Amino acid sequence: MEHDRWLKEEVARWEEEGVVSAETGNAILGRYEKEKYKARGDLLFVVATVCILAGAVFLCAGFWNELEQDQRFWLALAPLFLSFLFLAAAAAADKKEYVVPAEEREGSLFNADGSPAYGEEALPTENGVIRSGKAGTVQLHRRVPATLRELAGFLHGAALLGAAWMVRESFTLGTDEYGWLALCTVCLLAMTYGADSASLGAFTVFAAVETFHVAPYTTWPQVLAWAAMMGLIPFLFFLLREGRQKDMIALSWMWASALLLLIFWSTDNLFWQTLFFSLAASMTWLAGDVFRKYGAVPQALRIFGGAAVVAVLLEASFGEVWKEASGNWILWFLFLAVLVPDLALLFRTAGRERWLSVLAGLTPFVLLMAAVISLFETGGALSAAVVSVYSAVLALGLVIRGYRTDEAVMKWCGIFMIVGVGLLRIFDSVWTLGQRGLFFLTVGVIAALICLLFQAPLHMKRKGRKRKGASSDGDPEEKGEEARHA
Amino acid sequence: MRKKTRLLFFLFMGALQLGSLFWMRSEYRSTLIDGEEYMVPAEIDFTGDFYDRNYVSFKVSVPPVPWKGAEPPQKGDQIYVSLTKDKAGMMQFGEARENPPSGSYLTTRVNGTEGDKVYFTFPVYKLYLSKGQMEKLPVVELSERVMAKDEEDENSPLLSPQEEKNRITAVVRVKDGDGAASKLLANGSPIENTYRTVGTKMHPVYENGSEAAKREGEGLS
Repeated sequence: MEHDRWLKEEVARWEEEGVVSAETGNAILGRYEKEKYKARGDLLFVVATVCILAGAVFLCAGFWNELEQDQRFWLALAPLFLSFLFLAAAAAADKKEYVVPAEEREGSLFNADGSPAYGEEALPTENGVIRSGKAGTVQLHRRVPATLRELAGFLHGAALLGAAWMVRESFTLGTDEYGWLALCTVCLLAMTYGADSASLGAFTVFAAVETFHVAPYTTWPQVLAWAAMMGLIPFLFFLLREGRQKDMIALSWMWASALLLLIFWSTDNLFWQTLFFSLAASMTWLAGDVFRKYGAVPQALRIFGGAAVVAVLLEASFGEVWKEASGNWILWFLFLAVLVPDLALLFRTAGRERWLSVLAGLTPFVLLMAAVISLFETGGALSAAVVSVYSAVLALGLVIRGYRTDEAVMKWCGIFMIVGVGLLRIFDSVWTLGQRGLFFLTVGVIAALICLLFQAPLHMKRKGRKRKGASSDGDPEEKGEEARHA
Repeated sequence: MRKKTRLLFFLFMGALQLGSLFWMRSEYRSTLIDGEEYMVPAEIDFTGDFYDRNYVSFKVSVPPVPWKGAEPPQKGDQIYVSLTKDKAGMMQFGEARENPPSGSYLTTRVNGTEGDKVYFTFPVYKLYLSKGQMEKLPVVELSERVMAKDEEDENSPLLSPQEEKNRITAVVRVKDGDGAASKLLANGSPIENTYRTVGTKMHPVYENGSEAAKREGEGLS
C-alpha cells in the first residue's frame, strides 16, 4: 500500500511537471490496479479460511468431551475423508496446459527465430513459467487455480495430523508418540509430490520436526526426519522451475528454519550447534545469491540467510561457545564434508564478483579457524576475538554496500551489527578488560583504514568530476548499473 | 504423473491413511478385549483440568527390576519387562530384557539404572470414561488423604496428610507388550461407585473438641 501511495504521488508530480500526460499517468496507475486487488483478494481469502477453520475447530473441541470413544473416532475420520476427497478431486480436475501467449503470436516480444527479443526475464509470467523449446515459447497454465489446490492440500494436511492425533489421544497404547508422527511424515511427503502442493510440504516439515522432537531416545525416527527434509529438496526445485514464487518462499523459509532446528537438536553441544548453524546460514545466503535471477525467492533466501549469519556470528563471538570445543571424528568429518558445497558456492559467487556474499560465505571457514584455535587456546578468548573481528568486518561490509547501493536497511543492519558486537564484548565475561580494550582499538583502526581506503577514491572522483563540469548527480542509469554490479 | 497412475496413487494413500487409523483403534480394542488381566496399585492424578479430560489419569509406582542382558541399558532404551501375577491377581514384575520374553510382558523404556537394576515407566496411565461417568466421579472422596507421619522425614514430629484414604487399584489388560486400563477400583469397587458422603445432620467429633464442634454436636450450628 505504501508503494501504491508513493506511485500515485509520483505520477501526479510527473503530470504537473509535464513529464507524462494525464492519459499516460492513468495508464501507468492502471497497470498496478489489478495486482492491488489481487493482493487484497488473496489476503481476504487467507483470513476467511483461517477464521472458518478456527471456528470449526473450536466448535468441534466444544463438544469433543461430550462424545464416547467411538464417536470421537468417527469425528476424527470425517474431516480426513472429506479433505481427501477434495484433494483428489482438485488433483483429478487439474491439468497442465501449455498455451502460446498473445505476445508471441503478435511477435512483439520475439525474434523471427522464436527466441525472446529482450531475454526471458522480460516475458510475462502471470500464470506460470515461460519455457523455451523447439516449438517456440509457451506459457504454463493450470486448470485448477493455485489457491484452490493449496487450500485442498492445507485442509488435508491439517486433517491428517489432527485425525492421527485425536485417534492416538482416544486410544493410547504406550508412551511413545513418534510412531504415528513418523507415519504421517511419510504420508505427507508422498502426498506433497502426488498432489503437487506446497501446503502439504509445509505439513511434512512440521511432522518431520515433531517426529524428531518426540523421539529423543530412538534413532530411526530422527533419521526419518532428516530423510524427509532432504526428500523435500527436489520439490523446492520443482516449485522454482514452475515459477511458483510465493509457495517457494513460504516453504523454503519454513524448511530452512526447520533445518536449523534439527541441527540444534541433533548436536547437543553449543560448539557444534554454532558450527553447523554457520554452515546452514551461509549456504542459504549463497544459494539466494546464485539463484538471484529467479526473483523474489532468492531475495527471501538472502534475507533469511543474512539474518542467520548475523545471529550465528553474534553467538559465536561469545567466548563460552569455544570452551566446549570437542566432538568425535564423525562430526568433524560431516562438517568438513558440508564445507565442500559451501566452497563451490563460494567460488561461483566470487566469480561473479559479489564480494559481500563471498564475505558471508566465508563465515563457516572463519568459525572453523576459531574452532581449531580453541583446541589449543581452551579459554575461548582468542577464538571469540577472531569471530568478533570478522563480524566487525562483515558489518562494515554491509555499511559500505549500503552506501554504494543507497539502501538504508543495509546500512542500518551493518551499524546495528557493529553496535551489537561492541555491546556483547562489553558483557562477555571471558574477556579481560585489557582484551576488551585491544578489541575496540583493533576494530577502530580497521574501520578507520577502510574509511580512508574508500573515502580517498571517492574524493578524487569528485574532484575529477568538478573539473569536467559534470553534474554531481551523474547518469541515473549508470548509477543503477553500478548498484547492480555491486 | 499420468491420470491413471495418479488415481491409483491417491487410492493407495487414502487406504494407507484410513487403514492406519483403524489399525490404531483395533490394536487398543484388541488389547482391551483379548489381553490378560492384571491388577496393580495406582494413584489417581488429580492435577490439571480433571473434568475437561475424557480420561482419568493415574500413576503406577513400579519397583526397579533386574536386568537380564549382556550390556547394561542406557536411559531411553526400549526394554521388555516380564509379568506374572500372584494369587490375588496382582501384577508382579519379573526381569527386564532386550528382547520380548515368552509369556506376558510390557514394552517400555528405561528411566535409569542402579547396579543391575533397571527403573522404567509404567506405560499405562489412562482410563477412558464418558463425560457422564467423569461428572459422577466422587472426586472429594477419591482424593481424600489420611494423617500419617512423614516416613521420609524422621525429624518431622507432626502428622500430615500423607496417605490416600482409599486403596486404588488399576485393572490393566496386557497383550503383546501393550497395556490398556479397563477399570480403576477404589477399595475393590469401581471408582464410579465409591461411597459418597450424604446428608446434612451429621455430628462429627473433632479431635481438639472446638466450640464449633461442640455446638455442631448439639445441633446449634
